[in-house]
Amino acid sequence: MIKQGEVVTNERGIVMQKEMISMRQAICMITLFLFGNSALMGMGSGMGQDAWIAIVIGAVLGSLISLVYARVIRLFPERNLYDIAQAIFGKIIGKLIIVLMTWYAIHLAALVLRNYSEFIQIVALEETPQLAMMIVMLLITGYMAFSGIEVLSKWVVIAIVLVFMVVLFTVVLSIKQVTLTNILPVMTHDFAAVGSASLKLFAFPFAETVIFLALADSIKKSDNPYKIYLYGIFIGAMILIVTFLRNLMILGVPTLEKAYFPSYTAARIINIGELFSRIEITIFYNLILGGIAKISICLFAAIKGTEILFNIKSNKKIVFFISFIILLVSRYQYNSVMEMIKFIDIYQVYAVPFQIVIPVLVWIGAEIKTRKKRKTT
Amino acid sequence: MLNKSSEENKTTNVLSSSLEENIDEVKNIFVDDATIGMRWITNCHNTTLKYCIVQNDGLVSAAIINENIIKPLMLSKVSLNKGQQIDILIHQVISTNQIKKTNQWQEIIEAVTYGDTILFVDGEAEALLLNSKGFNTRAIAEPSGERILSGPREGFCEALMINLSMVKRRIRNNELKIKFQSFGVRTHTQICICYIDSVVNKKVLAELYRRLETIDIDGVLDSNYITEFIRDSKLSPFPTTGYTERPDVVVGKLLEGRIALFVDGSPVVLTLPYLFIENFQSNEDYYLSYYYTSFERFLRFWGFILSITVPAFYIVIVAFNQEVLPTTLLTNIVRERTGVPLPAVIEAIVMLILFDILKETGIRLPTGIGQALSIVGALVVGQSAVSAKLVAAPMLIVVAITAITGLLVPKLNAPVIYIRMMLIAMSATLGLLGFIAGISIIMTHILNLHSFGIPQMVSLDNLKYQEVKDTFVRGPWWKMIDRPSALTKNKTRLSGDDRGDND
Amino acid sequence: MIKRLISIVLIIGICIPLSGCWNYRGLNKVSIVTGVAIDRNTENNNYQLTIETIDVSGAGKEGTGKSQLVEGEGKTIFEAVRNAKKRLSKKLYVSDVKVIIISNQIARQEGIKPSLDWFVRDAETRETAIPVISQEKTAKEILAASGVDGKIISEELEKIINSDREITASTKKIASYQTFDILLGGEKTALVLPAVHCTSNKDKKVVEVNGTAVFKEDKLQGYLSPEETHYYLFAVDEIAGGITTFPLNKENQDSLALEISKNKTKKSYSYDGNRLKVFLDISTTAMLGEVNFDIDILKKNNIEEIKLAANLAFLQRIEAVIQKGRMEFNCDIFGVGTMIHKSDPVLWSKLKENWDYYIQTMEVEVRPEVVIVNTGLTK
Repeated sequence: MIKQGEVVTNERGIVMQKEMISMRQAICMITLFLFGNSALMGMGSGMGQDAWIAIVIGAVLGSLISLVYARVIRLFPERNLYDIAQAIFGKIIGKLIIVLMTWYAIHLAALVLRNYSEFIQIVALEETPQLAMMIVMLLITGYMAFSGIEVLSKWVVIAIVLVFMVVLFTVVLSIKQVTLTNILPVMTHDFAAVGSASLKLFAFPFAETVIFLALADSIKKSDNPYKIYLYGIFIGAMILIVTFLRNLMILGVPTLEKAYFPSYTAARIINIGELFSRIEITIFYNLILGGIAKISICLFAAIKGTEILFNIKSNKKIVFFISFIILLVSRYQYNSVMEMIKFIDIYQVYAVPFQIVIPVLVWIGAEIKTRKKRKTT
Repeated sequence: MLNKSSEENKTTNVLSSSLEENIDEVKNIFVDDATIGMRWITNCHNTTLKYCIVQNDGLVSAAIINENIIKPLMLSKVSLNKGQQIDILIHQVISTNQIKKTNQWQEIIEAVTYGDTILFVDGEAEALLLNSKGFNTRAIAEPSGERILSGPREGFCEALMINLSMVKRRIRNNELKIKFQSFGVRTHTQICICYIDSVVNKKVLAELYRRLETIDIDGVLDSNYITEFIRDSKLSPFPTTGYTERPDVVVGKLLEGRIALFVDGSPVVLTLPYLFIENFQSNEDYYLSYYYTSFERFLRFWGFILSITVPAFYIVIVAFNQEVLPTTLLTNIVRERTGVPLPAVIEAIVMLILFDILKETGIRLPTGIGQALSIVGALVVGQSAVSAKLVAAPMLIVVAITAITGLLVPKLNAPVIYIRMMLIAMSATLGLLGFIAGISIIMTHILNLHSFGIPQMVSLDNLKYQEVKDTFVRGPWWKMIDRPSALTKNKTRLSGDDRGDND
Repeated sequence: MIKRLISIVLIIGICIPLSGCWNYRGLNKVSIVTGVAIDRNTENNNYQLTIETIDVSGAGKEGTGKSQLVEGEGKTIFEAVRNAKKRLSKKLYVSDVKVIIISNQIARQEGIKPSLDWFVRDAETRETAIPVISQEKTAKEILAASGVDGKIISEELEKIINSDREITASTKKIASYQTFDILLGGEKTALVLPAVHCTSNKDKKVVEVNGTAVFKEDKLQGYLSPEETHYYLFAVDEIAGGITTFPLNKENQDSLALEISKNKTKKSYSYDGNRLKVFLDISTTAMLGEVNFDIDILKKNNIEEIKLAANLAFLQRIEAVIQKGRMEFNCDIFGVGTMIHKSDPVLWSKLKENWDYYIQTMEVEVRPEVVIVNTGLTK
């Protein structure tokens, strides 16, 4: 994790430039990030067959806020959020913003981690204590964060190909089980309900892409951040909608609503000719890949924030330390799965400062600052 | 001589003018070495001209010495004055093809020990090093580790110059650069760095030189010694430099912008930098039809993956997530497994280790016993283990698949063993999660690998045809327009655009 | 630094074998469950479960395995399953349950929803298990009988039901998650489950699939015989095979057999503010499979006659089934509610309070259209 413009010779003496990711990789990262948690937990929250409308609206709202994020990146190319905050607001407020965003990254990672360990425990490894699963996942994500963002983005590209293939595979295989009319009737819920569901979806997952602002210094100046965000959100939303529709058409509304993990339940039912039955293992794999990607990205953002905050050079110890904090938060934040599901309601309010307030402030500050700069030059 | 081996304990004294003193010094240096012989010569026309040649018995060709050194010296009519003989001797008397003059004892020692003859001239403070190498080397034959169906069958032997000759014959171009260095404090082994100037990546070359400076070892017997000093990711089991015993492979890689490293005394040549996909490439791919070889490459790649994941996946299915199995299969496996005392993990590990032992003994033993041993291994161990209910039958199939696919990709046989074990351990503790975690860690590790500053897994970003045409499929030759962009900036192979400027 | 690394590695390395891989389930310690029969013990009002597992010993390499029955009792299904472990050395592996046999007593008296809850909620059980109603006195008898082909009853039952759709079309295939959908959905469609009974075959008691059982909410109302189920399947557009026999005209007995190859039923409705009118447009493609008397098929009139007779037969019989479902069982047997809900939710919310009334007073018009494409090898 090297600062901008810095050219370092590492212990092998090779001159390393700052690692950059290309536009395609960035889009894949955003897509997998969006897919990660939501495909697992199911979206919809009480909307039944109309949830896809909520997803669409949530995606649109997410695109709107991402325009703000992209604008910030545009105004300060090749610098990440922490740098920008300090540059605009000065040391003290800047550091405050860094603390808040780092905490958000840590908390988000902890949320996702807990989601996944609950899932794995209910579904596959019942007697294994969640701590063991969490440690294993943190080992993977820690290793990835430690390897740098280039490795992370390459991994994400490979993972997303696999994810696409599995989603396609399950959709194709589910044709026999599908009841197309499950999507009817459309819009039995009134606009208020759809609206509130969209807001929930906006907070989780679409506006969580604010985390990418912390990685923005790896996006090349020549790449268009608007394109990255919009493409990423669009493709991510498409995959989510496809997943949701597949689940809906296989399961039917009551089962869909009742299930904690609808993708998994749907995959158990798919059965073509005895050969392609019991493929829930591939869904499992898919979901874990998404989870690892999401946690790695959040971990990365958190580590960067900590480094800039305390002015430390990149180090193995930080990865360790932050992972440990995430572990603690993850372990103790809920007592049960029901609390976890209910938290989503609180989350949409709790996340507002991080997802909306701080970025908008930064954006306004950035605009003012660049206007001033332009005036003086 | 650029290595850091200490030279202080060798005398850097210049020679003296007196022949006797020089020869005494030689006798001192090579005391107890009975193969260093000396021959005193005087010119028959001018008996004041005295010479002495020092030769290393066994390394020199007697014919050359007799005809080209002793005879001319004895019979030469050229008039020589003391103090000015050396140049005249070089130009008019001695008829060997290479002559070097020196006054450093270090050079004399290195020359004698390689087969040169040293000529000491009475009254001169310089000696002449005359090329008279005449040692025997192995005949050029097909390397047994890299057999192919059709194509050139030459393989390197242990003599550096002969190896170089095989490469030079294939690149008839002045841009092929060849540089020598020597390593090893005690062995002074010659190595040769070889590259094509207009395509090579200059940064990698500079990095290579820098790393070679750091080598400090007392003897270099094989190119692997060098590899372990200069490689990236020293702790990773994956190879970061390529090796080969075939000249056609070396030339192919040189043409793509790589650097070749020859080591005297070893037929194995290093090529660097090394991309991950080269593990799966074989030179035969280019000599056979591209349909066939694309399929072969596909098989190799999947063979590698199967070899790593099959035992772990089997354990996951059988011990943790039995839902995957359809009922009939499940019933059969349960039937096979009842009565087997060991849990599946232990069986897997034991069978795999047993297979590796068999493979290892098969390699080391003389051929006759090797055959019998493999039959014994297969029949006795496999069959009776199953009948005695020590091992379940499906496990044998799993181990057989693993073992056979493991042989598909020889370059990766080192990492495969460890990764396999690691995956088995992880899936045995945490089931499917452990399996996925293991695979993610391996993927991350492979993505992390570098070879001389170039990442081994080139970014999947570049999904243009020209980048992937030679990775998982082998594109036909009329499509091979560009070189891999990771290796060099001089991209095209075509004659019209090969400008040759490469910086 | 190195020391710390080593100590961490050692800690992790020691923890793993010490903890013993918590979830490791060796296959030799597992007993595969294929079917569950649920009864109610009248004495202590507990659930009495009969669990059929595959018996892997002794069968060797033969094709069909044997099965073993284990009984367990408990206040809830989950408890009963666990209690069965008290007499079993191996752990029960329920991920392969194929059939859930529920006794008709439970179905009639308290409904099947409580019994099925565990099967959908538990992570190990599979939602594709088929719930089946036993027409015998207890559900246990089904499992205790033998099958004609094999000895593992649940497997046999599942195979019969699965292949039934294309071959005999005498029962309905439904999985437990679909059951739950219907029970929990607000559309008040009647749940229809396959029904099973024992008959004798060569002096052995074997299980046979015998039509379907019709529910209102989750309580059993009555049965439809296999033939009636055949026509019921027409009404719900789930038929894909099967044989229909009918007489050519009123004098003869049933003497023509049509094999149905394709069928499409279109439902539509009209509501005039007071009564509901439902139309069923049935278009069937069939092949004439058997003719019991002499007739020259190629003569044009004959084919017309056969078609008319087939249409008439369908009309009468389907209407009879629908009538039975509405009147006798008082339930929405063929999904009118769902249809209305999906096309006009506003109307549905109006109608659903008095849905019973509408069912009783609804007019049903069946319009079958049979097309005979071939008559086999002979004319």
